[in-house]
Amino acid sequence: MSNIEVVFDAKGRLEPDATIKSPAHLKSRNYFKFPNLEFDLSASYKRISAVFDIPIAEDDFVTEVEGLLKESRVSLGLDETKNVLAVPFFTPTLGDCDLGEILDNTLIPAVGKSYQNIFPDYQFKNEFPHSLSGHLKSIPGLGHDRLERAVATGPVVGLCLCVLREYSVHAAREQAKIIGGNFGLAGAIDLSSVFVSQPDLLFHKNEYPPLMWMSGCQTSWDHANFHYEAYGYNLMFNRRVHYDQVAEYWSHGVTLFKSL
Amino acid sequence: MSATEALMFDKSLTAGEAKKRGDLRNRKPYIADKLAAIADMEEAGEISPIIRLEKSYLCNFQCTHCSAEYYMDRDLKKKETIDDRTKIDMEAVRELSRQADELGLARFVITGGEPLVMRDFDEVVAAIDPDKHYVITDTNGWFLDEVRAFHLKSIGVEKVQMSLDSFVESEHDSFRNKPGSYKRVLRGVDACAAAGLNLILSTVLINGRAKTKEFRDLCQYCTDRGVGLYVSYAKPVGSATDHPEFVIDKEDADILREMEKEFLVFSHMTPSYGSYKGCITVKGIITVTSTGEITPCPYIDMSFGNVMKTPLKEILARGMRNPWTGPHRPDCLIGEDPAFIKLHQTVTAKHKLLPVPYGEGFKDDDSLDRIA
Repeated sequence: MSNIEVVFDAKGRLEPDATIKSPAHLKSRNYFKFPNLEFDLSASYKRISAVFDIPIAEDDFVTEVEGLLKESRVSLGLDETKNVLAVPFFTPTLGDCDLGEILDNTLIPAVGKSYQNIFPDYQFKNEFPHSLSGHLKSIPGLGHDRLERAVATGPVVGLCLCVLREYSVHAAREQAKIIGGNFGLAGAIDLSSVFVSQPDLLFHKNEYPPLMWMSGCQTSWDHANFHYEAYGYNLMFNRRVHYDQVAEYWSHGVTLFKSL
Repeated sequence: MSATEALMFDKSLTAGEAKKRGDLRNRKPYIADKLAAIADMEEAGEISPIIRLEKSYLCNFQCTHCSAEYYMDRDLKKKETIDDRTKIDMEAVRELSRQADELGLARFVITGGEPLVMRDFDEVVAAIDPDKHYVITDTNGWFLDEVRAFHLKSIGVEKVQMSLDSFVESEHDSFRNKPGSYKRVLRGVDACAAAGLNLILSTVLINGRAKTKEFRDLCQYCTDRGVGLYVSYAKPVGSATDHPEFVIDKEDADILREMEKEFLVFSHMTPSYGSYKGCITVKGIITVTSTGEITPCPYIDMSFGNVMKTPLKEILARGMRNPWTGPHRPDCLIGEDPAFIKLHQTVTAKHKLLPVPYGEGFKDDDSLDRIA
């Protein structure tokens, strides 16, 4: 039984709540598409293990993620027929550090390593030319703050649902508040961890995939944020201005996690 | 550090590019300041499109893929149509230059048609004001000998963009329907170098060409000469309307993206010095037609307003509000999005005189699910 009243379209996009004030497309023509990825927990576990020391066995990882998937399906009223893109992730203990430093020192290099492992001929590039130190903070009450506190002291397993497509950054934050519960809006930690687990999330040869914002975090600039984006067969981390705009190309993740 | 400062200290600048910028700053500090401010404008959510000015469509070539064919007298004659719309004059060009300067815009491209056959070319450069705007001219190279190149430099033109559609002489001449044109382009390359004009070569990418040896050889030639190769995706407009097979697919675009790592090659979609615009409609380019209509890119024949009737600022705002042309997107709207291509073809087919006026093509209440 659904705890939260939300509506998904046939392509697994969560449609914006009628009360949302910031720009979001009411309907989508689903022009920008994620690739058809298999929900292969064993493969994810192997990709994560190649980058991080993961302290649980593969079977336990599978059990934990399946539990999160079940919880998200129940909470969001998703039956098996709904084609929602879900990506498992693992985040190691990160300590009580600045989020920008965590990205610079741990998570972005981890994304790069994971990308290189499966695409040795292509590149992952951090296009932001400066240190990220001091540039990101979790937004209180949107879920990423809970995740940040959790990974300060221990590792987590999580699940990211790529369902907020064609929302402005502000609209995604509004929608995340409406979803509430144990869900959070993906930011620096969970989104980067997602790309370690699934580095090919935006690798699409025949179609253009969407860009993914770290909208669960506030940056040093009110109107700009960080994101992951494909450039051809390559993946990049970058920053761009967004103001109060919406684009077909923009998307955001909603995540659930469990401390290990 | 502001975006401007970041660019000034941008270590990614090649020595050649840094030298060019230093030289421009010494000669034209006002323009150098405006160009340096573009990063800050983008940071502030403002746009700084290059203005392509199509004052005349007169041309000595008849190319297979010409996007301006339907604007030319020869095509109107074929359709037995008379274009009685008001044309832009020098006063209108001066006013456009003034408004553009007021908005911080810094770059004009004189295009056409073939700009170097325009009798009033020098007057147009003066009306744009080469001390206020960075002036570029397009050319097919036919008339670009050393004397002409030095003259262009002397009147304030900074850069030449010359078309080279194949590195194989016979293919280029055939595509351009002009025997001898390949040799003239190579002459033009040397002429620009002699006159100290910045140069980029431009070429049209049709479906499958990115995989050919010929294209790779062209990229290598340009890289060896230190000349950038600007790659324009073939669009199903103008003469190429009847060649849907020219339209590239994502694989072509992605191969080109990979080649950017190896060669001095770029497209309108290529990130430049930290600026990732994606599709540059309105945000990175606009075209002003001979009748003063402003379109969001050289290949979209639908107007956002007439600069002789509506302020440039409002026309740009319309373009940015429009759901097709305003938002950030990574692909080429008119070169890759089938729904928009269909909409564009259906709308423009109903009009003998292009571009389609604002309200009949693009409109205030446009939507992405609009059916033509």
